[in-house]
Amino acid sequence: MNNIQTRLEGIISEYTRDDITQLSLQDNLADVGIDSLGLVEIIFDIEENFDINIPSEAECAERGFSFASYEDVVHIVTTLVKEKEK
Amino acid sequence: MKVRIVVTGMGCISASGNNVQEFTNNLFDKENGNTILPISLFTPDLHMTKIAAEVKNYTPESYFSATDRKQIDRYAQFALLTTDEAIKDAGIEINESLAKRSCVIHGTSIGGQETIEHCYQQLFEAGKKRAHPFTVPKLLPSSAASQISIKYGIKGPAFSTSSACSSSGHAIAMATLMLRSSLVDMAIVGGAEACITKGNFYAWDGLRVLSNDTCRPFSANRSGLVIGEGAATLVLETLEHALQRKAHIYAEIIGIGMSSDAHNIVQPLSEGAEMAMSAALIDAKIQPCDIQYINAHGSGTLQNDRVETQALHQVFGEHAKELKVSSTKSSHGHVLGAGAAVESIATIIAINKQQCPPTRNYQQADPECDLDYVVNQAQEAKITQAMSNSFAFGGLNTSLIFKKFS
Repeated sequence: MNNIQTRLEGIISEYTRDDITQLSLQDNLADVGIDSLGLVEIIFDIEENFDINIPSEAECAERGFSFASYEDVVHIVTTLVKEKEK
Repeated sequence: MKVRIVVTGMGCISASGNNVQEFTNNLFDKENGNTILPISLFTPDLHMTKIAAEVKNYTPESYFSATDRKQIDRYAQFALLTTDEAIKDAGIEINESLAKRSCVIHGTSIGGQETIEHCYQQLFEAGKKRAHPFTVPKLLPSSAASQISIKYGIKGPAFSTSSACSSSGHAIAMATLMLRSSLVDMAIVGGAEACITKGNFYAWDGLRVLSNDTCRPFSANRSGLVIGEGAATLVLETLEHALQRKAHIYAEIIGIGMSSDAHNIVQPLSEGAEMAMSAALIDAKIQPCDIQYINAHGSGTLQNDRVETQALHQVFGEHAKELKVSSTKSSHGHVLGAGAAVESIATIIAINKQQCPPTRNYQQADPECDLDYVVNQAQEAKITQAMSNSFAFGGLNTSLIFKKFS
């Protein structure tokens, strides 16, 4: 697991159901206990932690960004971190 | 025939104790630990007011999870805890049908002040790009009402009333009217305030009404008000509803009066206070001489106490000198939006104990404040009807009359 994934797992696992011990890339966030309120907090924590700006819902849709699965979130963060470094 | 309204549950948290029993002990007992102390919730600057009436021995973590604390400001925490106490005290089960026939009206003057300041600190000092997502739901003055409604599943009217120091007086008045009109059968009503913060005190200091000595209502050497924090919640029901479930009844609310000074944003006006008290007496269908005890607004400012005394003379005439009048703000401080609710509970306790709580810290007689203020020590009294008054900045007044229930 790379650094981004390690940090992301740390953030997301704060909001998963108690019985979830590990996250796998294919996991659907809703299935591991993350509701809409949890997602909003995860986005806040991601922005703080990675010092990136997650775009609005409309822009996310345009860019094909999704928050459905863990893998989707990894993709968004990796992309935005790379853009920031440019 | 007016629907009769009764109080069947009470919950209270303030500098005078974290529940109704502690509150009672602190208010009435002779050996009272001082409740007005140096501020511990923040560090005042040298030129700022250094005292307040803070809630003691309160650890939010003991009552609210980390998740809850992210959504619930200190003021709403107090509102919830006192609601828990009041509902448990009332022994009431809120089933699906009662939930639809109940209301929540919880007043506050400023709402989530700690959250507001934290948010601005993050923005202006820390330069953070984004506020925590729950900042707004947490700071809203309606958040206490929402949290109570969510926790207890209450689906009737739920909202907050805001009228500075009379906020919870208006909450109680509104709930009484809703109950009388049979819109609801039960009301969870009260007020909460937790604004002992650096920014808020910075603002209050500007007004130059805070005392750096202590709260000495009606005393010639009084020097201003002392801000307090806390909350109080009362469960009100129609008498019919209470009797049906054989509820314990603390008192009856027989009169409510509301008025506005229409005068000045900070200076009180006797006529405004007189109108609220007279309105309450008329609503209760009793005479001024039928009141034995008054829990005064008694904030301890030079202006209020003088004007309030004047208003009492006007309304009660010859009977004024027979009245027992005390300001329990001398114990629990000025709890602003929660004041009327906290003081209503003090008044109801007085009726049940047949004792008037004292006006503490009284030192010097003031010729302009010449009534019997039950100075420094609680007094036994035959109390059948008692009045609780709140006269707020901006001239917003409430007067509530409670009667011993038999």
